[in-house]
Amino acid sequence: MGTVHYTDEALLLSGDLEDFGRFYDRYVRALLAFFQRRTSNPEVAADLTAETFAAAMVARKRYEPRAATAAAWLFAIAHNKLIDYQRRGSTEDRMRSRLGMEPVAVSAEDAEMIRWLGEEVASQMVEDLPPDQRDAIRAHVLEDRDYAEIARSERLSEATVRKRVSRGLRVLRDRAGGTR
Amino acid sequence: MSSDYIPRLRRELLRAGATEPSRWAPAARGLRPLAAAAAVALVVLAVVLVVPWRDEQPSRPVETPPSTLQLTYRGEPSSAADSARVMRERLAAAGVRDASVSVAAGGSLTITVPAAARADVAALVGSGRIAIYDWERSVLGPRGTPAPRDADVTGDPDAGRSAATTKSVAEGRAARAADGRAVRALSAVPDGWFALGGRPALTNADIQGARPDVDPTTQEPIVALHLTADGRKAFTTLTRELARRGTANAVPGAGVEAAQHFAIVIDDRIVSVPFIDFRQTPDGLDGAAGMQIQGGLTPESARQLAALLSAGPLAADLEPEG
Repeated sequence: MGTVHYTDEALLLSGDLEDFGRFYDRYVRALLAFFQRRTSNPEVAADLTAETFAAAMVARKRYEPRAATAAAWLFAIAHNKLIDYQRRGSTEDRMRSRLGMEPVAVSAEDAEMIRWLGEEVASQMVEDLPPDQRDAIRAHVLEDRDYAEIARSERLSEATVRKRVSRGLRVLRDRAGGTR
Repeated sequence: MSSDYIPRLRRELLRAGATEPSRWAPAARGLRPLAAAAAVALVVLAVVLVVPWRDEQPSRPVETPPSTLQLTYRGEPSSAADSARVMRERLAAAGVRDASVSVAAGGSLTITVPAAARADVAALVGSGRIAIYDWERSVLGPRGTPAPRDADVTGDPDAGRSAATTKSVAEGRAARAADGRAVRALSAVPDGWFALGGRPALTNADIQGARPDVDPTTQEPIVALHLTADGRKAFTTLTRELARRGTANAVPGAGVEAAQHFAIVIDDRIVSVPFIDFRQTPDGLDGAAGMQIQGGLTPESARQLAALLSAGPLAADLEPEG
């Protein structure tokens, strides 16, 4: 039977755990890089990534595709986790506890990999994107500016900004080795 | 670098996710009756959402005896016998036992089924017309013509959802195109519509059979479609064209953002808009292997959808009488 491929949104909403795993595969590297660049601490980046995916696992049934792409939704959760961390000075494990997740240890090699992702994925790979996607990713993902603000400053529609971010993330995901 | 952190976190996440319901169960014990009612409501809602092209309830249900429903639908005398045959085959394919379909004077159809099969009947009285389109070449823009490279028309990468318009706009665009038609967007956009133009690549005539199945990789319910010889050729041709166009449009070194889609339309609704990964299948998919409808299906709705497609289309939807 021919293989067909599904959007992030379909994977998130299917209710099948393995589909959630495929969604994880697409974004785990981008999330690790996102947190590593902001915390410069691989253990914290790993913790925040695990907590973000645990929150996404718990909340995925409430995800509303009309409100945001699945990638934007995931990064909104990530952004909130980062703010919580910056306020508290420590990572929380509320969602992991709710799911009953065991801690996943971070070895020296894991930390090295996360550092590499933070340095390479979020800088060099973004630089290699087409200019419109690169600028949109920089503004939204790396500088935490919201879509409306970017749209105003760039004189674009918000939909266009969302589209560029979405496409840029897809390219990054593929280049980082995520599978579809 | 030989880190295995990413797969270890994945395993732990999915392991914990698999035990999520049982962990919540003790806290919800006092709410079980409410939870059960909510679960039933969700199942009903899921059926309505997944099979939205046939949501009318038949009129005048008469229980004869109480465990049996008798439902009457209007029909054309000239096509009543064919409609009765199709409905019998659909009910049998859906596994509805003790069902009978008879043609009354004037061409109306009387369907008698066990009361528990009401939802099955409601899901099976749609015309069951399937059409598979080259999405980018068929979806119509404001001028009533396709605009394959315009994401504001195709919605890429969210084909079938993003760029949806209203019913009246879609109908206006469709009216200007050859073989134009307005179709509902994917069910995630309940009020969204698109206009499609041109002939579909495959129709019911290309479908040899349909059966509910489970995707061996994801364990997700699917409907497997077996194609006729012409259907296999058409599907192979369609997906080869999509793959080659995706390759031609791709930016060197980039991912699959240039991938092209096909849309599966059943009656007046888009039910799926998969894309062809031109990197994995640069020559498209082999139609001999059949195709599948996947996404948002439950075992129940997959069974009903397979039955709907298993016996060919009706001349028109069956409308409840009265």
